[in-house]
Amino acid sequence: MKAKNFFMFFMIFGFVLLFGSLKAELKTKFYGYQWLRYTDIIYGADIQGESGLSIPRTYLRWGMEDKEAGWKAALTLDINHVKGGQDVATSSATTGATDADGSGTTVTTTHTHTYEKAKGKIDFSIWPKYAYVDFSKIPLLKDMQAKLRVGLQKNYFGTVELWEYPVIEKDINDLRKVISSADMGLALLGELPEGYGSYELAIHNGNGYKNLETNVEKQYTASLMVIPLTGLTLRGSYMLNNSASHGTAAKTKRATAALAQYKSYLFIPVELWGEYVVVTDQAHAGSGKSGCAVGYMLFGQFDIMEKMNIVLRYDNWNPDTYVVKDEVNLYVAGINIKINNNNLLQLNYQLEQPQFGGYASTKHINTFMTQLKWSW
Amino acid sequence: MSKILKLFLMISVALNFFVNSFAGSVIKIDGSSTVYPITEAIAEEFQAMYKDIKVVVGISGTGGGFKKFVTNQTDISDASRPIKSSEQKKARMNGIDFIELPVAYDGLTVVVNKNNKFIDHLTVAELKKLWEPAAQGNITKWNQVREGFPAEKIVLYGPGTDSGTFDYFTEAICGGSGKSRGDYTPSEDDNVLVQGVAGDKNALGYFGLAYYEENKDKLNAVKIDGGNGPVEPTYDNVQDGSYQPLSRPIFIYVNRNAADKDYINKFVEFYLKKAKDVAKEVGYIALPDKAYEFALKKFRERKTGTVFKGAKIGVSVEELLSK
Repeated sequence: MKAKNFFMFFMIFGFVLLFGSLKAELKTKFYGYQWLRYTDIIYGADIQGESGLSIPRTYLRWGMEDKEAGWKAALTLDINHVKGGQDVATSSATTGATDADGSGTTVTTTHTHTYEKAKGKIDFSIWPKYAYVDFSKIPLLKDMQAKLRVGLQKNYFGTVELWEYPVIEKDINDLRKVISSADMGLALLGELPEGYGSYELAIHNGNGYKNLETNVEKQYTASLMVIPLTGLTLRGSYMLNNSASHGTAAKTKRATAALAQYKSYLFIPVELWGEYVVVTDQAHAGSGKSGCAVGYMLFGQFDIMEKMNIVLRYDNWNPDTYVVKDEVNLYVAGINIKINNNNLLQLNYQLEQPQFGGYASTKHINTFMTQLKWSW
Repeated sequence: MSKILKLFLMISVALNFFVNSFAGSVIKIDGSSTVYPITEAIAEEFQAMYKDIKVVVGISGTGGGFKKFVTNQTDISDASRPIKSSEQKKARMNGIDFIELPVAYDGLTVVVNKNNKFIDHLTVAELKKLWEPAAQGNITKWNQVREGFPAEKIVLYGPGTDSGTFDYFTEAICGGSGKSRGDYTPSEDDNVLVQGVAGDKNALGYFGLAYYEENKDKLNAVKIDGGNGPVEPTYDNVQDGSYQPLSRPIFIYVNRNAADKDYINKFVEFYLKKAKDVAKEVGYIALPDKAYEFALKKFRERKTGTVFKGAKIGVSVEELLSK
């Protein structure tokens, strides 16, 4: 989709919502939320720390529904505060040399952290995050309790679809760029009978929601969620992304996620998540690299009071199974305080720990974050 | 590490227990505006008897109520329809089991003027022809509804669009909530509808069955043919499930874990014992005695899940509850 067409798509979509919402029989809703965040990052001794206030997310949501006709549309604009001092870029360079005895390869990885100082002026960008229409009365699909979703929507993969930021950090798939949180395409969304789960089949561009369509191939995702016991949710997801620009050979990226989630209110309300992710990416294979990444995320939430919970998370991410000393650990501990129905205060400490860093001095990244999420 | 984890869990449980012990006993209820009058009336009586227990009843609509219920924000959800599969899924994901309890019937009556001699009964198709949006400006004479009816002008009365009765009628007759012609006289005050129909021999209107019972002397009720012949709108026909499609059971859904709290257990037992009388007082139709007995038994046995979702029309509440 060319830039002009992309723009036209959202203009038309916006006008449909605007004029449609003036019709009395349609149910419309306008709402949104914002995150106000203070971040304080402390690196190793050789890199200066940084801190800053930011507004990393402002969502404006517009929803419209005509139950009778069987369609529902949603438009979410993401007003992004580009700089707030929290953006850190990490680049890695890997070199491989054959051992003297010819028995293998010694790989050396060098990580470099760079950061950009907050700009002296406010810098916002606006993205359409979601812009889709659901059709729920399509013959056959209706009988199957399924609907067709067309447009810019979530990626139905592992935790990336389900993560509602109980900690401030993104979920492992989004954080490690396994898959984008949203993309353009078509999806079939169905329910299993009696609330036993759901399934999702989707064809997306495969470039994420901030990029135009440059991928001549497409991304395919399939997910199955089963809830065998009340409180226990199991989900398996598969993604195949044949990425190719015009005139280039396709490179295939595959990802599989297995997720288990448990919620209980027996003693204290508890929520536990575990996800295991495997990614193989042809674009990153070769030169001493397997192109295979493996990671897992463990998360727990304990509601110690009605309006307060403690959250703990541990991630392990191995960016390449051939490369040694490149694993990254992430520890997060936090408290969420529900001030009222519209305001949630989050206090997080997180430690990112390149476990066996290949560089001269260890540069653990300590991050303290305070965030107020408010909605209307 | 495991010692720290154990200590952490023990402190959490103790803290939670401590906080909850001093938080007071509050029962949180939300959901359907249709069920609200019954729940609110029972909550008032209950609080008069148990002064240390507070009952908070909100109105978010059935769907809005379920949204809160499946995320453990409420203990009880008022519902004018059975729970949907998607709502069940969210409840299961969030570790919430529920006990589904019917509490009364909501029944509607189509009424005509006492001097109307040509309408004895109407089929659902005729009612649709009369009330669907396409009828606006087109179906204006009675002989357009059925051959043999006089070529007299049709005059219509009905509830306003904010009413649950309007949603229910349009869904049952016109095939979609809110789907209705607009060229009729709307009013949220049932008395205005009664006066309107009573004052015009060519008028037709609809409202709650209980309200018709109070105004029988002024109006004639129209028998409804839902496919099995004309059926009179009577309490007996509503209770045995034969008056279709203008009658339906209404429910409360109780969080299974919350039901084990003494004060919630007391409230639900009180509710099921009082529902029969209160339903009549606020204009609904009580379930048969046997149905309340079954519902109470179901609650005491903590039977979870839904038996009403997808139930066939004509199957009685007692039959469904005895499953």
